[in-house]
Amino acid sequence: MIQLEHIEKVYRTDSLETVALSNINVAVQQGEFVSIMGPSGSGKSTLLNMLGLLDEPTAGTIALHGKPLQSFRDKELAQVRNREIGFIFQSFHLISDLRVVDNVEIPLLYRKGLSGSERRKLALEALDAVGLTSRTKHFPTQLSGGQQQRVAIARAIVGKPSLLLADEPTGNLDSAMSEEIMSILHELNQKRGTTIAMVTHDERLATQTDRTIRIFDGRQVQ
Amino acid sequence: MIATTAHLFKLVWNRKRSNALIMLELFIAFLALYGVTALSLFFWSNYNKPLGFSYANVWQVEIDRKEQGDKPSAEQTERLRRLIRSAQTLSEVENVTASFTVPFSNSGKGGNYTINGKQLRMDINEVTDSFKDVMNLQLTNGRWFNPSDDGQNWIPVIINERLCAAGFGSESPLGKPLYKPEPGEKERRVVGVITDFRKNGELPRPSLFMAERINMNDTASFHVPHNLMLKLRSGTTAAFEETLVKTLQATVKDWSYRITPLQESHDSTLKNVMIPFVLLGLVVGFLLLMVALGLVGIVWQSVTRRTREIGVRRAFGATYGDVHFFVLGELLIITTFALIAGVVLLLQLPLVGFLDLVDASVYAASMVLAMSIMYGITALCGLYPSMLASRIQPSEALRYE
Ligand SMILES: Nc1ncnc2c1ncn2[C@@H]1O[C@H](COP(=O)(O)OP(=O)(O)OP(=O)(O)O)[C@@H](O)[C@H]1O
Ligand SMILES: [Mg+2]
Repeated sequence: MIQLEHIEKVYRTDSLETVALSNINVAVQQGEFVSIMGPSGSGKSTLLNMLGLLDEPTAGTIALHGKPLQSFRDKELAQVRNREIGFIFQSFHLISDLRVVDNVEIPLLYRKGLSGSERRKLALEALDAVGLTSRTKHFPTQLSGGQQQRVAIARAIVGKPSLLLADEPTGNLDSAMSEEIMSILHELNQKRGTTIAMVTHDERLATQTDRTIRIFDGRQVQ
Repeated sequence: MIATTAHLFKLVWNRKRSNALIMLELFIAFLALYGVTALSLFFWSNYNKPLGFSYANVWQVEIDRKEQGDKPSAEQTERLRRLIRSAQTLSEVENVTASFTVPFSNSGKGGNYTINGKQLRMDINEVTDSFKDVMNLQLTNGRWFNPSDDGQNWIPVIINERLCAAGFGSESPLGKPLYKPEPGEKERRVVGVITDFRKNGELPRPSLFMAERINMNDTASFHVPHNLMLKLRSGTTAAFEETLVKTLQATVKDWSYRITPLQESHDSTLKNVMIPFVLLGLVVGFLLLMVALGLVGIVWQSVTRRTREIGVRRAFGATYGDVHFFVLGELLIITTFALIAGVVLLLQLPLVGFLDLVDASVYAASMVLAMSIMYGITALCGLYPSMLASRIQPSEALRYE
């Protein structure tokens, strides 16, 4: 489904150069649930950003459905992100001035040809899928951490993406809530066939996935 | 576009508390700007309408008769006649007229009259027969005054086209009484129509105007005019003033005379209006500059404060253009809220009689103009910050703390 070949990412600031990724070769198959593990600063988020087309590699190629993405312009990349990819962030990144349902609608705003009522309907469906139908008119700050992350998941899946990227989705949650989030992800993976790549620090969660990619100091170790 | 606009409205509405101050600033700036644009358009539209007379080479002689009241006496009338005759003998003088009020002076006469059932306010002047030629008035209907009017038991009057339209509509006013006379007063009968006589100059709003004929033989009912107006041959210099005063002084020596070329009165009248107007413009311009700087600050702050929000939107499919529109659009909507409040207030103006002061077209056009300027300023202020915001890499934006 998505393939990274010989990926390198170097961050250059005025004084120093950080090699965040070097010679990464990763292929995620359609319908897979893979986890990404590694110590802090090893490059996990950087890798996820590559998979999510949020950043350009310094070298190497990324191909989606066999099509290389180098030649894509901003508009086309935005379209691909909008239609194919959904993001879940560690710190939720909900927009505090928008109600839950308006937060969930955000990806649909950047998709052409949807009416307001269609957007609303899809957003409510996504909230239903994460079990939050009773909180749609709340503002994010009125929710618990687990509820906020479920809103973030609803936002990530509302556009029915084929690839879901999650950067430590349970990092800020206690274990009971982590389990809840994991079960939602598993359900999406099994029932909808959504491909998932998830960064985690938790060995126990990693074992629940199909496969684990391990990174150490920017290098793939497994 | 529609989807994101509705979304932006929601966002601005939810953030109304943090946007309240800038909205208030924009609201005040808009009202101040409206004042200036309304005044500008008011002056501009008035300026472009014809004065109806020509003041070139016309001098005013203000007569101080050193006594109270306008009560005519045979003696005063005789003195005035002599003054006019002596002025006419000078070779520089083409024509002389006597009138109650003169162009560009503060004093004037006017009142409310019922004309064909309509209550109308008009300016009034009393003039002699040569007034038309001295002021170069344009007659469009009927005739001007002439000595044959002396024998009438009614007073002939000339009205301007505006008064004709307001009082008589499409009917001819000629030969008709202008208004019902008070008991004991003579009837005013319209004998002719002129384009205009805008005594107060180019900038004030044109008014309804009527001129009555002074009959110097009828010492019972006319007021002795305070002013002579002299039409001079072109090329007459200021040096002529001395000769003129000497001649007048020699004719009637216990009156005194003050001479002002109408060109001078015209220029100083214009200056008296334009200087405060320009000062007001500068003050409002400064206010707008402050508001604009405030706006830039606000956008800048909101862009940096919400960098991660921009990152989220980029991650979910917003393009450069969408982010541009998002930042700029938010600002334009804030402006829209402020303008709506301003317009609601301005819509009350007609209820307090504003349309009696300015034309409806000026009222409406200045509102549109002020709104466009406000939108222009906002767009200009938001352009650079929104461009910066759209250039941030999504991954960078999401890391931003
Ligand atoms: N924008 C950037 N500019 C400079 N260096 C960066 C940037 N982003 C990441 N890095 C560096 O790249 C390396 C990898 O960062 P990354 O965020 O991918 O780590 P991570 O594995 O996600 O760590 P954590 O588990 O703490 O989130 C780090 O050394 C980090 O300092
Ligand atoms: Mg990370």
